[in-house]
Amino acid sequence: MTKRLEHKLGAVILFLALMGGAAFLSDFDLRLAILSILAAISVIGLYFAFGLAGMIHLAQAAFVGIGAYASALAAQQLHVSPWIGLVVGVIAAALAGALLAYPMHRTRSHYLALTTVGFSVSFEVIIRNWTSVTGGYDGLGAIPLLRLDTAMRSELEFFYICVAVLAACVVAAMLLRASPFGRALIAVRDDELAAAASGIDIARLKTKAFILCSAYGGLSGALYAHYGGFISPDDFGLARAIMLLSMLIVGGEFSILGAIVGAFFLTYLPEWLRFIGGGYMAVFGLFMLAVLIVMPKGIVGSLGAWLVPRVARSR
Amino acid sequence: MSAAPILETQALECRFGGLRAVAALDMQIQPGSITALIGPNGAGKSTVINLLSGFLSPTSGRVMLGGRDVTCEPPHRLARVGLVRTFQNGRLFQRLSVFENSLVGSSSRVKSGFFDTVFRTRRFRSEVRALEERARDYLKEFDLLADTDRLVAELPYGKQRQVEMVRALVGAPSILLLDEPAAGLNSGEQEVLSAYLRTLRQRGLTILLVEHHMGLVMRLADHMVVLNFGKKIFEGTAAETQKSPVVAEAYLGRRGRHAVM
Repeated sequence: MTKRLEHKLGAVILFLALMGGAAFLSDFDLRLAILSILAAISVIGLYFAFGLAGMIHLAQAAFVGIGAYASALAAQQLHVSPWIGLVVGVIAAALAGALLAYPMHRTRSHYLALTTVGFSVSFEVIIRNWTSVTGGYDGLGAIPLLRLDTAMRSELEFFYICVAVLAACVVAAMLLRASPFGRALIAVRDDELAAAASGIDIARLKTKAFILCSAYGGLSGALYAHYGGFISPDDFGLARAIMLLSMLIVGGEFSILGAIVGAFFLTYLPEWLRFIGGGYMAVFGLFMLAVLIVMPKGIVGSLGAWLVPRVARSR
Repeated sequence: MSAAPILETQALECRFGGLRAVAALDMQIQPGSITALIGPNGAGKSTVINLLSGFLSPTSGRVMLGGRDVTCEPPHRLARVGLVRTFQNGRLFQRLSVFENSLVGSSSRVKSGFFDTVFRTRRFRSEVRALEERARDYLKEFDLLADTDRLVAELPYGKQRQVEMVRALVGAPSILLLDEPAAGLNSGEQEVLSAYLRTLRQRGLTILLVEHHMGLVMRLADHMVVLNFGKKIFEGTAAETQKSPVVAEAYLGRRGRHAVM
């Protein structure tokens, strides 16, 4: 018991040291960390929809976009505080998720994936052409920023906000994973027939997972809008959706930690490959392939299996 | 037919293209009894279980549960009103532990939502505690408490089937449909099973049993329904069934009938 207490204390001290250390990072480094955290929040959403419920979801970027535009518009047009904007963004994305989930009930596997692709493309087309509201191709600028009015540099302050939000998101995700809801999701992915026989309403459960996923995406988008102060359709297209799903797969689709690791990894990777220049996307693609072949369970899944043999045997 | 039946089929029929898997089946199951559904291979027993548990929709006819028409209701809704089934080869969730597998059985009883879960409301905590206690009680009855944290794949086959039984019971069913629960069990495990099924009957549970092991069925069943080619060919007590020439013929053919006599 005391040993565990020591471990916890150690973790807290390490965390505080890291957070203190962040103060010495440049704005550029902080920006990358913030973008990684924002990606991580939406990828944790995908952990539920794809990792647990097994839905191939290629529209998460659109839900990030819905959160971003809803929150930005609420702050600009209705003059609510960006904090309220966050709530508006989450609710808007969750509602949109519920609306899409309803017809999606009837589709499975690749059909479901195509439905999400359709949604993703439609969303982009609407955002690009509904100029009066969304600003069209030019995007929305001068979105009120999320500030705490501390003496800190704005990047550092926002970094701390993001860390706090990510922590809350992780805790909520862990609680949900350990609850009857999370268990039911794993059960459905293991054996749908037995799950139905055990009293699980599969369509309803998947709808809930999808709405949860959308809400996480919406939160990520809303934070993004009030971080940069500028959003445009380019940030929320199909390519971005594929990237978000890749983050989960590369990190480890069956773990929340994997979602975070994957988000950081694929946000930093382009920076590490910057020296290659134009051919970077090709290298990036090959690298992704290599990860999937060498570590089919993702970084966290495979490293975990290697470090702790027991983890491999659990999920 | 004394009391009102808890489960009843009325002219139940199921066709797959030209094949009549189940034809004009009238069957009544009395509360608190063990009914066995038997018949040679391909007689339609599994189809009947699938029809009763909502995994198949009948071509015509009705299924009544406790006097309510439940024809075409989906499986999860039937589980909610107390009709729970098990599967022929014991379908368990491979990525969940023994304890978690058992808890999934209570899915139809969970009322807490996202809010309750994330904010650990009193409702959530008391609900989870009650369900876990329930699961633990049943695991204890099967002597599985030492294995709660293991993955089901690590257990021997006999124990896996017990876990499936626990999962079914944790859902607090009033009627249990067991699809070949003794398949693959050794004789000792079969003894344990039949003793346990008797205990369940004593507690007031209704059981419908599809089973190949005649010895087990004869000792357990209060009532037997015999199917052949989708039709009910005989119905009665175990002793009556044993003596029935129609049943013997269905199992052994005309020549076999002389062999039995």
